Amino acid sequence: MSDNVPRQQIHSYLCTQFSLKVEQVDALLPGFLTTLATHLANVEQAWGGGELIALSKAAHTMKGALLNLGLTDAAELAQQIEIHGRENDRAIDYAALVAELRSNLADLLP
Amino acid sequence: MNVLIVEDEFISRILLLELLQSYGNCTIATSGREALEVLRRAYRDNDPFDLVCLDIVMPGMDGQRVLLEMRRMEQEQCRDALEATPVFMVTTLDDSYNITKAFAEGYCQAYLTKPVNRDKLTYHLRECRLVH
Repeated sequence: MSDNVPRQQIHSYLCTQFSLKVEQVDALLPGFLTTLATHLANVEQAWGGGELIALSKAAHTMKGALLNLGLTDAAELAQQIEIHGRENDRAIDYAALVAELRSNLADLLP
Repeated sequence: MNVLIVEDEFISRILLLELLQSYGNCTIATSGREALEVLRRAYRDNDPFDLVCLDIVMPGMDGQRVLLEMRRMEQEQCRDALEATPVFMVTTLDDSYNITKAFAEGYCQAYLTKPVNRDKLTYHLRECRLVH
């Protein structure tokens, strides 16, 4: 196991929450983290496209994944993007939220 | 037990599969439309699922629409309430509108918010007498 603490926390969370064996999580985790990177890229792409509804949907999808991985702080950020985007709230600094989301996951993503 | 998992997001789908495959055979649908095709085939073949786990927010057709359409198909097949397939909604949405709609209009049996863990799932499976 690497020294990556966030990765170890997810590993432990998955074992506990889903009653998975260590070797099961070892097999699943790389694919999960790759998927998480894809979700983040989709959020960033949606933000770049300027369509808040699309951004909201991308954030919603990512939120579900983050919650299932026990990444509640990042999930909260995704939820903020989702809710404000759905409400078409143009007063929100989405660039900052998306950047904070990326920063929050920096130690995890490949 | 034959379970249909309807979930478009990879991580959620795999984790739900990991939870449910110990209870029986799992079929996956990654969209609402795909789920309806699978359900239609199952009803046509007189081999309905024992349980459907249904996400709500999905591209195209959402889970609430899938649920209503599923109940309509059951009515067409003259399946009464006792024969209706149990449905667990599995979603991050925790607002009263979606919860009420799923129970009152879709007659779901459980509304589970993510993350779903084994204890939560087992409780509802037992409530529905799907497992001992």
